[in-house]
Amino acid sequence: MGLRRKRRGQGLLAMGFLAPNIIGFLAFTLVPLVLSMVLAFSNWDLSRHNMFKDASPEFRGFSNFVQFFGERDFWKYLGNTLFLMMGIPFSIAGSLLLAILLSKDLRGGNRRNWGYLMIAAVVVATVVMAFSVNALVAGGHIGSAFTVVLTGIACGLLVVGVSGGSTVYRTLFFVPHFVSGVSVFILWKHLYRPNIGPFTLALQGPLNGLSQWVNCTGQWVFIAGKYAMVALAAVLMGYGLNKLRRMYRDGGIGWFALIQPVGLILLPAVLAQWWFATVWVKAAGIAWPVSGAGIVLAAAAALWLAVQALLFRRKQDFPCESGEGLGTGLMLAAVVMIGQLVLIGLGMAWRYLPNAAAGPEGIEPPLWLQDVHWAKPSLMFMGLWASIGSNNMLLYLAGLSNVPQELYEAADTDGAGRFQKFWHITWPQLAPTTFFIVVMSVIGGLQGGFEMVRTMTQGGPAGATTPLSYFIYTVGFESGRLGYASAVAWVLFLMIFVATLFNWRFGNRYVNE
Amino acid sequence: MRLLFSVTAAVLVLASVAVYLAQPRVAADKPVIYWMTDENPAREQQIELFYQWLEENRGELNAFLASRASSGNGRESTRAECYLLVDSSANEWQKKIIQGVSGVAGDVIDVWCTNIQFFSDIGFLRDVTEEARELGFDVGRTYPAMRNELTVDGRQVAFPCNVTVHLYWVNLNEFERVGMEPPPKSWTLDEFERIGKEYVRRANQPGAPRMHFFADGMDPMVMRRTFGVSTFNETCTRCVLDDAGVRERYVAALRLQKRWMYEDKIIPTPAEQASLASEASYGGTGPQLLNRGAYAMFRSGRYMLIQFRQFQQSRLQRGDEPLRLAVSHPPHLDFPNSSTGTRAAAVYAGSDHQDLAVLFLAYLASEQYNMQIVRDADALPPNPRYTETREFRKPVPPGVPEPPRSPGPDAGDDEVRRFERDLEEYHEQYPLARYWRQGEWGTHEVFADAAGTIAVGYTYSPFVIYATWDRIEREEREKFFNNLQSAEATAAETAVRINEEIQRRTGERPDLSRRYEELVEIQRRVDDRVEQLESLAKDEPVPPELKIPADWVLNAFHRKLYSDRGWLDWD
Repeated sequence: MGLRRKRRGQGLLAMGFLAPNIIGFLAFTLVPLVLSMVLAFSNWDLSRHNMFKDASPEFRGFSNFVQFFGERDFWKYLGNTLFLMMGIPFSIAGSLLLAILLSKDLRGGNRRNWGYLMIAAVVVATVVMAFSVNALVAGGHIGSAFTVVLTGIACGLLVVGVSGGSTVYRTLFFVPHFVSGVSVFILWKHLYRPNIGPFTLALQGPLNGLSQWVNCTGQWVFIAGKYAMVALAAVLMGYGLNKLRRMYRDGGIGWFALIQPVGLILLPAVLAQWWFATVWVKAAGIAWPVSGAGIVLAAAAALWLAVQALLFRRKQDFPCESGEGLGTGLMLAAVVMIGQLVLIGLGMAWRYLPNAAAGPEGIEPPLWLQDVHWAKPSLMFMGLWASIGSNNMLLYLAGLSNVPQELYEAADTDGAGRFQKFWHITWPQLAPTTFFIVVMSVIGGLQGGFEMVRTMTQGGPAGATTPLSYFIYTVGFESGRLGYASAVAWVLFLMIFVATLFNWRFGNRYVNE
Repeated sequence: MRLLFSVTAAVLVLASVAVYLAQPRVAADKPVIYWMTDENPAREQQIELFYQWLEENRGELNAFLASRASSGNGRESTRAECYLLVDSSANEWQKKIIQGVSGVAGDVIDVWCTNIQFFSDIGFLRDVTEEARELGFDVGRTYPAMRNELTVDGRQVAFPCNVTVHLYWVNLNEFERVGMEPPPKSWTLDEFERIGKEYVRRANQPGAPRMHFFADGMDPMVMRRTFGVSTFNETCTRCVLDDAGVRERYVAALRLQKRWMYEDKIIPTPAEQASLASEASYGGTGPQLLNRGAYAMFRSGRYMLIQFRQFQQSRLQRGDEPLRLAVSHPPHLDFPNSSTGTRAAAVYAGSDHQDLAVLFLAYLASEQYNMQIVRDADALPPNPRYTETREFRKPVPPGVPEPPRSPGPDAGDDEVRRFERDLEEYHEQYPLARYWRQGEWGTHEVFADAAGTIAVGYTYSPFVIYATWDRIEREEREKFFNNLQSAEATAAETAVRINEEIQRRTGERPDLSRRYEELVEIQRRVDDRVEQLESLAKDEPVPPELKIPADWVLNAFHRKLYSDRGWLDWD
């Protein structure tokens, strides 16, 4: 009896300790969550359903969801969200690279080497600074002053980093993560100021030089450059498709699972056809577009498909289920697709250089957040800066310290090079970490962007930077349609859930393999 | 641990009780009302004046409160006594909505006019029509253009704290620097363009990035209206931007605005604005840019003087010349107009002290409050009568005596010389007074006159929320400015999106749907009459039977336009 009473007393005490947290969770998380789910199926409108009005919200079934998918800007906002997420692979790659660099001993291994390194760093910094200051004195304009400031900071970091070792760099790279978001956004807004912002000023000098070079260079260089980039994109496409074919042969991916990755890899060819054609049509004013670069990609894709169609007639060497290997295939396809898009984009930019340089002011730096085409990449770039040195880097650092040294020793014995060691040991060993980072980044990408957009662009110009999270806010508070806003929020949740499920289902298998 | 937990819990409970008891509403010996407004040092003085006003009018106000209480309105106070506290923590409109629908908003709510219709539609602004009539703060006490801003379906829900008319502040020093005559008070679009081109040519180095602009911008609404275009029809039941006859004029307005930004470069593009702007303070970055000559003109209201007077003080301390200012109207084509708005105060319908909050609105119409606005130059006073005062038109810095009076046109040479000598001595003794005199004298009356002549309020449709259609119009306009679509497509897309929103809202709300049907029917009659009125010869008198009843026209633009043409029947 006494024991039971004592246990009950301890239980009550424990509940007492836990109660504030539980009450907080119930009041501010669970209840609003459940309410918002209920609201999503109602027509709750602040202007009709509140303490001053008699009307009650009505059940609307799925009509909010149907309405959302019919929303004229739904695809645009979804597109904006996905565009901003295109930075995720780069951010993960950056974090990994950074973690690998920072896991190395930056002080040369012993005191003597460290001394040499210090001397080298100081010499390099002195020479670079001397050149910069000389350029400032000779040039005497504000752009050079910014260059001096930037090189000064870089040199300072070099010297401090060499003297303090990787700890200095680890701290520096992690700084963006623990600085308040809004202050970082305001800082970047200033960095992105057109005409007189630091980025613009730093770019102005090099771009002036580039303009002069472009104006003295033959057109063929730019045409050839564009086709070289397109050819590289075609090679990358071929590489991706070939890799998929090999996977198919080896039983790594089934025929049904192969369709989606192939589609993704071919998508840039289609998009390029459309982009090049749009530019071409605008210039020529002709009804149906056919462009050289688009043709190159489309022809390469068609040729490959034709060849593969013949090859696929052969049976798989190691048969597998038709749906197997989808996750791996899609991961590969996503990387190849983004790589192709980047190459095609670079090709287009390269081809456009003579036109830009021919203007009265030469090639001008972008207007960053004020330009409808640059606003999203600008935000993405800022996101990259913030995420490369974030928790992802720490996770990779932790993951790297867990890779068994014996594996590297065995690889050394087998005569493996650095890249081989990375590809066959480090990368597979880091797969669980990468998987976790990918899942969290996708969730963050789909959810995120609200504070950034609200602080920096308010969704503009022309809605070019409005992600779904900002759209929810606009619907909820601009027009008071809380039922509809809740439905949109739940659609966003479903997207995140499906993406996570997908990652879990297919990525996890890859990790465990 | 158990003891620690118990002690912590007990301390928290006691602290909560102490905080509750220390709340003004619990601890005060008089009722406390909260005013949701911005954090502004002037509010303290305004509150002091409110107490004085209550004291001076106690008898009358007590009688009013007693009559309200006897009419069985519930928890009304019977004595005109209260504490007024500022609540500046929830001054954003989203927070006001959340607090309003949750029953915890302040008793008096500051509302920018474009939010009044939405807040009223939600239901948390109290109808004060009867009290306004009784206590003398009805819409007839303020500017004619404010009628549309303060009423919803003919019922008054707010009274102005101040009234803003947006005109161009002109930096006369800048025009002198480039050797040009300052612009006229009233001018056409062609004159604006011609003078603007000449200014930017003289003010900027050839080939260098443009650092001086003629003006900070042109309000798209004013531009559209001067071309005779409104987003909506007379009854605000439909967006008409893509209608034949309207589209062409809207397209012309859009193209002209784009040309001024991107070709003539007399007003900055959004990118250039962003590059010029540094840290913003009160009123944004525009005032600083005007002060340093980056803008020769800057669109704003009289309240900018709060900032300009600080600049004058700084200039005096540095020994610089005064910032000499003038004011010009927005340029016009067919319809001279400027935008006007108000920061108004409304009574929260969920307040426990609505009767006392109503008194605060009555105070806003009083001499004490109006003269405080006059002295602070915080835009125009709610009551236009006070713009006739010398303190409004020829202000002097606080604590400085009036300057010597000008002897008048019939004065002899000696008298004029004596006046000039006295004035010089006066300026030597009170140097800031010279800065004010040269800086702002002559500008105040332009704002006051514009408020009664060319000022037109915003357009509100009962069927689409202002913030929504304004955003749609802005987004589509930005697409045109960013070369993503043609001007014609901009007109079409804007109309389609706004009309879709009207259809959605009327489809979802039976109350709106009924009103919509009524107004669509009225619109047909308006269209008939407008057609007949337009067919009249220019000098032909308007037959009374053709005049349009004023209450048929909800759109502030059409109301002003037709009123100026003599087409409205006000009976």
